[in-house]
Amino acid sequence: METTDRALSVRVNGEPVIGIVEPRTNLVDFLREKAGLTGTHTACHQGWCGSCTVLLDGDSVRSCLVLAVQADRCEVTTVEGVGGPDGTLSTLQEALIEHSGFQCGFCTPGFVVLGTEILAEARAGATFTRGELQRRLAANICRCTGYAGILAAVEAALKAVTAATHTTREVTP
Amino acid sequence: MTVTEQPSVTTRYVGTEVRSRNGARFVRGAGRYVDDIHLPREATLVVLRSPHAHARIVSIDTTAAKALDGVYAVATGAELFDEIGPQQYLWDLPGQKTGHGRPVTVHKVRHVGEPVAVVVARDQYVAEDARDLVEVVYEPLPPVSTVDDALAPGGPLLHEEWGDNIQVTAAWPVSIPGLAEPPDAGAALETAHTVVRETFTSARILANSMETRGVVCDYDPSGPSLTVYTSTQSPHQIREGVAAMLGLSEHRIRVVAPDVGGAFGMKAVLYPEEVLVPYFALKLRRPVRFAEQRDEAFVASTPSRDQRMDLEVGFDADGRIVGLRARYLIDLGSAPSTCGAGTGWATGALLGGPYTVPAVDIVATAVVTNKTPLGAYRGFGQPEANFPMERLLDIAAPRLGLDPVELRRRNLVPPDAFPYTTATGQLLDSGDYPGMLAAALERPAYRQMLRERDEARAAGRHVGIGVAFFNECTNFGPSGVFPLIGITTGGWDATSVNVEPDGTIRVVSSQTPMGQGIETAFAQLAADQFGVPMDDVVVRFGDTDSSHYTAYASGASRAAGIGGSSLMVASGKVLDKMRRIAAHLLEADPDDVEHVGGEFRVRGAGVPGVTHATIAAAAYQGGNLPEGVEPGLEALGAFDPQALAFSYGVVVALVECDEDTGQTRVRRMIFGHDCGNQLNPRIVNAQIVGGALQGQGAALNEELTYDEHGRPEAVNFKDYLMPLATEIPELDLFHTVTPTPFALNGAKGVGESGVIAAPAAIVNAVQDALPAGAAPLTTIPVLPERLLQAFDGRDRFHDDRQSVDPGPPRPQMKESPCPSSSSH
Repeated sequence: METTDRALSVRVNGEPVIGIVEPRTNLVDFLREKAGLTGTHTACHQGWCGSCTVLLDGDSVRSCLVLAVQADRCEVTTVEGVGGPDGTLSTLQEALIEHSGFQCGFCTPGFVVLGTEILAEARAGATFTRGELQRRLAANICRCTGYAGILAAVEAALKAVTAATHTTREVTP
Repeated sequence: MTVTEQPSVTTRYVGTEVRSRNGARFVRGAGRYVDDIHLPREATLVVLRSPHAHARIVSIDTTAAKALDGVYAVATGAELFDEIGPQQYLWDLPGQKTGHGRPVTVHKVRHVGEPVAVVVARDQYVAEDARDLVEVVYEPLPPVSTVDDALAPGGPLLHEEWGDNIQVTAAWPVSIPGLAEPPDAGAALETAHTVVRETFTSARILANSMETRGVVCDYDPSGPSLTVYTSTQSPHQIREGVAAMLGLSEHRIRVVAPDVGGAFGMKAVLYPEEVLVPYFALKLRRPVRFAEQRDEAFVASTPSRDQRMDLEVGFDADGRIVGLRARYLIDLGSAPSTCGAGTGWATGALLGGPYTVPAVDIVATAVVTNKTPLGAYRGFGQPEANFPMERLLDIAAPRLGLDPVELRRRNLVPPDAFPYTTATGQLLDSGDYPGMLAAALERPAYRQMLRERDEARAAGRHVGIGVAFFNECTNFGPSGVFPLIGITTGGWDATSVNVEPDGTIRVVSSQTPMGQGIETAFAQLAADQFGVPMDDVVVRFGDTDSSHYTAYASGASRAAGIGGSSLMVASGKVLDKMRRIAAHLLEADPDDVEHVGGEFRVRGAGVPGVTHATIAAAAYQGGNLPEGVEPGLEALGAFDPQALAFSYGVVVALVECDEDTGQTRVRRMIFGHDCGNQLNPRIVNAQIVGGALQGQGAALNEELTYDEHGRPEAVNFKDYLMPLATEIPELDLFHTVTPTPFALNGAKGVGESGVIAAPAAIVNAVQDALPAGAAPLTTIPVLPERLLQAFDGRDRFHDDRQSVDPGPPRPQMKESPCPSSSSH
């Protein structure tokens, strides 16, 4: 049978992942089934819920709306790549635990990645009002928490990051 | 009230805000859900679902599908009919009628999404390709789209052999031989000072757990035996169902619920795929998987609510309720799920809620329509009872010349009346309802609400405040009552407790976590029972090979009270054995040995005691044990409550309505709540906050609508609007603590409290925001088009649409809705 399979190489969380896929394969299926990274979850496969959010060359995308072949030779960060290489949790991950920003945990990886992007923007100098944060977080759906814990966690992480950024700036002018 | 059955223990963890044990796993993406499980040689199963609401199946041709490369099996309902038996029914109300009960239909389809054929193939992509190649010829039949269609004389029948479209009826009061005849509600209503009557509709909505359903089944040729990984709240019920339907012994089936990505009652019962996947694993002698896709979840996972109630309440001149009459219809969908008409039954049994209603005349009628079968969803019939009752009280108050709060206060069951038996035969265990209502109105947040409302109104904005009271039936049991209310299982729960050879503790619960935090709360409870650090306790669950059989599993807000009490029973047994072994090692009388600070010592002797590790070493070595004591340190504890426990609370909402867009914004909410003793206030708060937002969704956004052909109009999150982070209110949450006497730990349940009264409080607030004289809102959700209609008394949105798209009339609704909202 004729094959249209394509070979591709994606750098996922800093490590190369090489695979042969059908062109129709979603990035999320490639990450979960070829790269073996099951932290990225598919809750709708329709682009609405944001559970499958990953960073593609630094920008958040819904990996169910991206074809794996589109990520060829790109850098992908999944929830597994957010913490430190030694297993330490990021500020946001710690804050999500402290503020009960999850219950069943299924949407959590999407919020971790979305929040990581927000924090990266804050490190680069962006500021957010609560309303702006809520609008950003409205990209993803959580059915359990009522969002209160997630919002509190992102705000706490932002505060910590902003404080650290200011300190750094004072020390190294 | 005190818990007298258990020796007192020092509570170091119980009642404190211990952080979730799942945190580090979940934030790393290290949770393990069904779809994360892959097995060597696995095949993927997909279901071909009916595109018609009602049709006869003329023919099915699977030739092309079978011929596709990578396809292992294709089967129709006719081919499977003799292979897989009918499902059982958890709720089996007297006289209920059932459908074919098979996982795949034969001859006829009765709702869009009903399984018609099954394909098993190399992977999801190939399986879906093959599914597209199955050719089905249907002869469409007129659909029954509404409860009115279902009851129309001479209309189409879903199940011709039934003779009508009525699945079951239930009525209250229930006469019991030997007891006095219940009071006559009809006479009470006739002589009432004021009678208020309205018809209320609670829409069909869907739990929509973020993880869809999924099943992975491993095959072992010895036996043969099966291991079924499934996203469920009820592993033992799944095992029972699979065994019965496939004709296998239960001991050959192991059911494992790994991390469950939300369930909310929707995953409490057996689904067709949970039988089909094991069937094909056996047939193909290889692992098989099924991952429900979101669009099919909208037609294949059970929705809930969907009731229309004609409610009539009579009051005396002082506003005290003298009688209640209700006639209501439950839109059951095409055939009973294993939950049957359970939610509808609960609505009637709990309709009086927290109020003294001396006489009732309630008739519930469950009818079948060409929609997905109805099932359980957080609240289980209680939101459907609360919305009509709490709206009616607000409608009645001005007619009685009373403030809505005062009307409630006069009718709440007084604190000295507990235990209180309702007119429908329910025993309310404990509480101070009027105290809760008063406490809510004393909150600074309430004064803030009044101030904001008055300021906004002065500025010409439409802002209102609404109140709703509720109680919640929790700690669902007892087993002795279940047969009387149509439930086929028991109402108890079990926990095993093991002290391991090194002295640490392993708890194996029969409850199943799904985000509610059981594993953390039970670790707290066990650590306190044994007087050890929480790190010395591990909690396991969700595996029929290790978790003891439980009758009703995780649902009905029963984990903390019933599961927790069984943990205490098991711990007590183990501690008793440890005391006897300790006494033997200390050469003392067991009655003189006390358990303090994680060790056993002779009371007042002033000599060092023996540690758990020392006792465990003796128990597992076995050579130096007291006479008659068996080696090992493990015990099973079971607990069956004497009665239900009723949590309760009050919700106050402040909303703002936009006259131009029809949008409603919930600005503030006060939530007063009492669930007895709290094992972990952090978990309790999280349950309420999350539940309240689900209730807000039910009040304002969420509705599964169907077109005139019975086709669902929402099969994705674009058309089914769940609340987002932009929609959360400022929430003031407070608690009182009234323990139940019917659980060893005094805990009542909390899982469902959030959703019950939030809709009524929000809609009462919306009504308050509308101009005086606006027609009463009686339908949820209050979609923007419904609100606009209420604002100016005509259907602006619908009028506008008429010129573009006439759309079908929707006779089942009291108001004229439009099929989709644009509130996001």
